[in-house]
Amino acid sequence: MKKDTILTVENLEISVKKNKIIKNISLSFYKNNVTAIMGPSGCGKTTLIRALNRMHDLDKSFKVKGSITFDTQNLLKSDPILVRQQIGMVFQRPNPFPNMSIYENVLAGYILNGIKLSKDEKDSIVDINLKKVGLYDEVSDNIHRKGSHLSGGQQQRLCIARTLAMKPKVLLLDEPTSALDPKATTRIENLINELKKEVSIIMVTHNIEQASRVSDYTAFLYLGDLIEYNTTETIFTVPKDKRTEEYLSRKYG
Amino acid sequence: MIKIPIAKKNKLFINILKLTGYVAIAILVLFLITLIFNSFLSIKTLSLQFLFNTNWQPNTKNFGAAPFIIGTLLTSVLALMISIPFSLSISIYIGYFLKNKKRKNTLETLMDLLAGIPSVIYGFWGLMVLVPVIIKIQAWLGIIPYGVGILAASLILALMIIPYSVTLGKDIINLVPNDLVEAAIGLGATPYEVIKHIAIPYSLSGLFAGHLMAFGRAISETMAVTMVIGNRNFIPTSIMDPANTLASVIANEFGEASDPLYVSSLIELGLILLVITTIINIIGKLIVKAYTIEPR
Repeated sequence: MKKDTILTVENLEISVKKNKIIKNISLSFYKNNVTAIMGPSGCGKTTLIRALNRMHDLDKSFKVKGSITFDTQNLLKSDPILVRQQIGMVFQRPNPFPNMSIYENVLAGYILNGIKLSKDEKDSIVDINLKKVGLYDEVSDNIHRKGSHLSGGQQQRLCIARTLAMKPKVLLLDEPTSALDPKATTRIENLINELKKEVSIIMVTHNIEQASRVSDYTAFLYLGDLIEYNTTETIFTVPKDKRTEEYLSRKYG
Repeated sequence: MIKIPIAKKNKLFINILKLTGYVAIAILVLFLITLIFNSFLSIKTLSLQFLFNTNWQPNTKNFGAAPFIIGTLLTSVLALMISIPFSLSISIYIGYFLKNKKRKNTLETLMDLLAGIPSVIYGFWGLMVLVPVIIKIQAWLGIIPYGVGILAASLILALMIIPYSVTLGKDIINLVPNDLVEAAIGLGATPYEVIKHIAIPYSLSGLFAGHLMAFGRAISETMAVTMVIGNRNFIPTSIMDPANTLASVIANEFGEASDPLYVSSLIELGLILLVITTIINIIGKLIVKAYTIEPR
């Protein structure tokens, strides 16, 4: 497996008021791989992933220190708007825009950023991305209807299509299946496997099996520290740290 | 002491509640009946012509409601148009951007205070501050410097209704789900783009309801308007003209009206005012229903 780095996190420290949530973490994420970030509740995994596309800017009580390098640039010093266009995020709860149709939802990134597209360009972006997430056949009859009548799993795939439409280099998934049933979860997991050909994926999950099923690399976080980071195979077969081993055997979590 | 069984107590309690509800409806119906009954003479004598007659000359018993209907709609529509940019900005600022609790509370309290100022005070302020300014502008523009008139009334009304739209508007904007805002920001949207494409479309019906409430208030506002509108019973030809609204002409002339037809015509003006506000309320409810985004 070729190891091209896409994102490098160095000495990252995130605190809210005087509470350190992420304590001096350094790790690299690899291109066209799926990296799972797992750990027990409160270990800081969501906080870490949200730092990667500057979502912490929304809340002034978050202080982020260190550096995140992407394309030779430090993300923490770049324009957050540009960062978010290249590093897309899909959230825990499916959140298609209820005031937009399915068609418009896929184009939401362009609509929001005021990018003008011709009718043909729009049609092709919508077609390509709905096909990518396997939603095209399911919704092609009512593509101009609101997305709110879709099932939870379909809504989540619509949200992934919406993020992919912006052609991001990195796709962040924050527990993308935690609000979905097993069948919808399997579909999303298969989709993640397909998508890593074109985009690097970093996903947060509290589901150990999910991490083992879909990821190439796994990072184990515990109380804000990066305990172990290696290929998923190594982590799951020969964990080096006792805490990783205990977590995998469900001693806590 | 007599002991009442619990079941009976419950029934009594519910019946008392029911009664108060019915009383409210009865009062409304009685209001309408009184208005119709007392304007009967005018309705019978002047018929539908009353609505379209553009003259109001009590001394020749020539009564027409058209100048006041136009005056009312003109002042309140203008007031609404002037107020919307301000009320919308304030609602967005308080509801979306202002995170500091202390400042938010202060601003909200100030808005409530503005809404609570007696309208006669607004009227005074209009006469003493606003009208002299308008006189200067009119003189500079080379038109007759009345000062009082449609423009003065609309400006005062706009000021009075801003807190009404804001009270509802800020809460509505605040209700926009955070996960939608985050989704938009995650796609690289700026705060302006989030407001324009997500927050406003999402809260459109609520914002509309707030402004409609404010519009209803502008239509029926009496005291402040009576003080600054100039009380002239003609159809205004420009917004600089003095005029009268349905409410202001009633307030201004009811005390001195002695002729039965005169009194009855004024009451019919009141009836028209009630009908207009009712129609606007119904239209508003329909629009709110049509534009409400179903919860997911």
